[in-house]
Amino acid sequence: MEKKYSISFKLNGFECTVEITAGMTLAILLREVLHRTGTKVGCDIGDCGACTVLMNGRAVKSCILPAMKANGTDIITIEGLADKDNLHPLQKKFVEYAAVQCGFCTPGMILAAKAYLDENPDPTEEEVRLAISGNICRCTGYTKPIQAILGAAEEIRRDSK
Amino acid sequence: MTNKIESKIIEISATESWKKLNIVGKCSPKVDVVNKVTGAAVYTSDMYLPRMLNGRLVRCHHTRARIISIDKSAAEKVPGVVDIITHYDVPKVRFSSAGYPRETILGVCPNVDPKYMEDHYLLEEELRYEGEIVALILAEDEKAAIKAEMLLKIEYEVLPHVADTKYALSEESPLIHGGTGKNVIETEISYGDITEGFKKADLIFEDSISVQGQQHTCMETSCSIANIDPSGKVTLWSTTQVPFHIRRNIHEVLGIPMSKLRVIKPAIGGGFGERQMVQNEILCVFAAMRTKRPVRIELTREENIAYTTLRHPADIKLKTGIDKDGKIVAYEMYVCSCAGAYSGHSNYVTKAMCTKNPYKIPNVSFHADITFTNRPDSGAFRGYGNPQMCFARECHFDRIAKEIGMDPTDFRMLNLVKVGEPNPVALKSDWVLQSNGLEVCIDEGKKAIKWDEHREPNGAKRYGKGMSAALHVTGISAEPDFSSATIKLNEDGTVVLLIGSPDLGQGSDTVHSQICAETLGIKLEDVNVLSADTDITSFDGGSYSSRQTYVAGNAIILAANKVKEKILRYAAEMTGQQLGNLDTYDAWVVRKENGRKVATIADVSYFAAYKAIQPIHICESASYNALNCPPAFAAHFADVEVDVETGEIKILNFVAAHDAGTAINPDLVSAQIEGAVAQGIGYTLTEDMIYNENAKLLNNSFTDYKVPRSTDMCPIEVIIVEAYEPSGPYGAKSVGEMAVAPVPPAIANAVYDAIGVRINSLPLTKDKVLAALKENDMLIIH
Repeated sequence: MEKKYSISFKLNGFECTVEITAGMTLAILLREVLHRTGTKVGCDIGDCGACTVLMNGRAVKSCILPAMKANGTDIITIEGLADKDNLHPLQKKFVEYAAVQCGFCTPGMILAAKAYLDENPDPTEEEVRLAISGNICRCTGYTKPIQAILGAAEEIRRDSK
Repeated sequence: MTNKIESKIIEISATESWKKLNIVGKCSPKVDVVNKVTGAAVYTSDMYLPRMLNGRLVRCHHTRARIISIDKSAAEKVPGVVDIITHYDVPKVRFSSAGYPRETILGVCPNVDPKYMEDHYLLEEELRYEGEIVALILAEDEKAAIKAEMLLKIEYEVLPHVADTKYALSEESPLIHGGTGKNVIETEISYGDITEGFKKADLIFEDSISVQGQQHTCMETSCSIANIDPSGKVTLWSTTQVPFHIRRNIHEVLGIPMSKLRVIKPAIGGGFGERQMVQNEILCVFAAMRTKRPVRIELTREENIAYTTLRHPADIKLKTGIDKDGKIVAYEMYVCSCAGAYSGHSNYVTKAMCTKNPYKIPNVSFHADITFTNRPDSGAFRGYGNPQMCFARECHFDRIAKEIGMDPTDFRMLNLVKVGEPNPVALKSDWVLQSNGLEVCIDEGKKAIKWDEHREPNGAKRYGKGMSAALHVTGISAEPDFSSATIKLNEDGTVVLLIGSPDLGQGSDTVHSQICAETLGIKLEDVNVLSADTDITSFDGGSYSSRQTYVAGNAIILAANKVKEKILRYAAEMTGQQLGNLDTYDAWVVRKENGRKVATIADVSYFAAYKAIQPIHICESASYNALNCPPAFAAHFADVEVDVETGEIKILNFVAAHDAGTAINPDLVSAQIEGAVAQGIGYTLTEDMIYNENAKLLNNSFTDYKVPRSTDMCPIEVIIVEAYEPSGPYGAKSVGEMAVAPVPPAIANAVYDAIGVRINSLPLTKDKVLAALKENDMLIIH
């Protein structure tokens, strides 16, 4: 029997305690154990960014992050971004700006953008380009996602006034 | 204020009445988008079934070898290993890895040799490329499967291999498919008289151009999951573009009746043609049947890049004769395309290179050597032969225009095909071209890119502009091509729309819902669309050939009109008004002459189900046989900066002007164009499949295989030209594939404009730019 370790962390606002095995990545923990399949795996080596989640507010690539590292942290996945009744401004703008095609990169890209906008709420287009350069999208050519992120930044700024 | 970028839309013609289009033409959000931004959308790879076995593909490490024996005994003893399947275990039935039925193959390639139609066994005894599948290990977890793979004893006879097309075409190369005589399938097409054509020419130009392979790199890797229930019913979830073709192939190879086989396409992380092939679905179902357990076969990113199909690499020679006015009088094409180890889509893709041509040319000759090599198969990829030939042709024509002192846009204008002339993409019929917005695309594109403004060199920076023109099919351009649609009316006036061609993310579900709602006269939110599930949705060949909007869209109109007719009949019974005076609009039954509201469709639907003299369930299906294949057109313009010290090419601005017919949803049209341009830019500048001398791919990760990232992209200005297509649903044609093809030549021609040197092969790397400059003594050395 493989040795199991118990870890505790906050997942989308709720405390959770799970048993993990050595070598398990955060992506596998989220997807296969905790059934949060909104977190995608596109390459499994940290190249494509589809697995991006927020750990203590920072964007991390969960496919190369040992699950053990989640112990004691605050993790937000795409399932935890919207509140009960309202989409997050980023989600709203991705809908409105037709920024989603196959949608496989979308959760990771939205979370990478969220982490960046939390740091820099008033970015230029070039800064947004750079902020999501770790997230490969094969469908959109990035034009609409970048506009959506800029649109969301504006809405967030307006709402926080 | 960051505004949503609206594409410029130029409408060429439309019909007038009180009944304005209510839903078609609007930028409605996609019907599946909220689930995608919240992580709720379930993709095939998101499904983890209880007791599911992990399927690990064991691959051949030799470039070419025959299996002499396989000893599974030690591997099978590994705890957690449930079964190991090799070629000794599978049915000896051949099938077409392209997925097509024989009738489609014969429709597209009437003279193809039958031995190339069905090119594959489920597992082969002779492995013909590095990485071909030798065995499938089914285990409780990946660790057990990996251990078993190490203990699997496979004895091979290593055979001499053919690494590239040059060697494949030579006399001494071994035959990859022994007994065929040579490593080539030859194809020829001709119109007019090429010899007479060249006699009439005042000037003749020749060019040799080559293009590389390109990978689709769908963000979700290929995944199949099969489950069998105790009654013997099999359900397969797959990242497929062609659920009904997959069902038929499984039926034919494994002998399962279609009633016992359900193929479902859940949300899918990309298609682009990769999933038009048979992937590992048949093997997955076979494994589930053997083990009586759910089975998952999911490719790693490395497998997906190295071993799934790629865009055909090709060497192309063009010879064109023009008269003194610049009119093309003769056009000869030679193509050597790399098929890889199996024929797959190679016949059709290579042949398609001939016909996807927006010009009227009286004398044409096309010869192709579709060449087998010991490499993974080339296959279908967005554009289907078009990007390769478009690059060659549009660079060649650019050279001709420049050498005869004609503006490249004028040369295109002079030669392009016109409405009323034979449809250039029709392979075997007398179809006529009924719409063409290419002239408007060229005019508008020129304005947007500021064609006549030139920038002076700045230090090592040189500036240039280039353009290209292209067309693409709307449907498979041969008969038979048909789709069907089923619409079920609920008692509250909402509907279920069942469509067999899967939405791959391009938004066909949304476009189909818009066409359905518009035709039925209901609201868009009242359409619940489902694609695709072979047990539920009506039959469709699948999502390829840019056919969904046009072929399936027309089927939806036929089915919706049948539903509407029934609604009106019950409305007449309910209201006592005459049937002939009624119509539907915006969820109401209205007076036909003026649109005055009579009753809600909701009330009529309830009446039909519960109150009418003869209550019925209103549910209608219809099939549409494509009566034409109206091509979509595009003109692309690039504005580039080339650094003659570093060789770096920077695209400063890119304009994509497209005639897609009516844009059913302009946001989705521009989304398709932007995405395809990005793939075209990758193909032009950075994406290359690099093989060693043993035909093993050396760059099988996103680190080494460079698809464009956000920082690699330039601004893209999209112009939508709506040349109304009479045979299309609300005048629509296609857009999905169109925009890849014209990208590379527009950029290459701009590079030539900037530095005065042509680079006749893709990708346009810094090294090639520097080498070309050096060859022409134009290199700046400090």
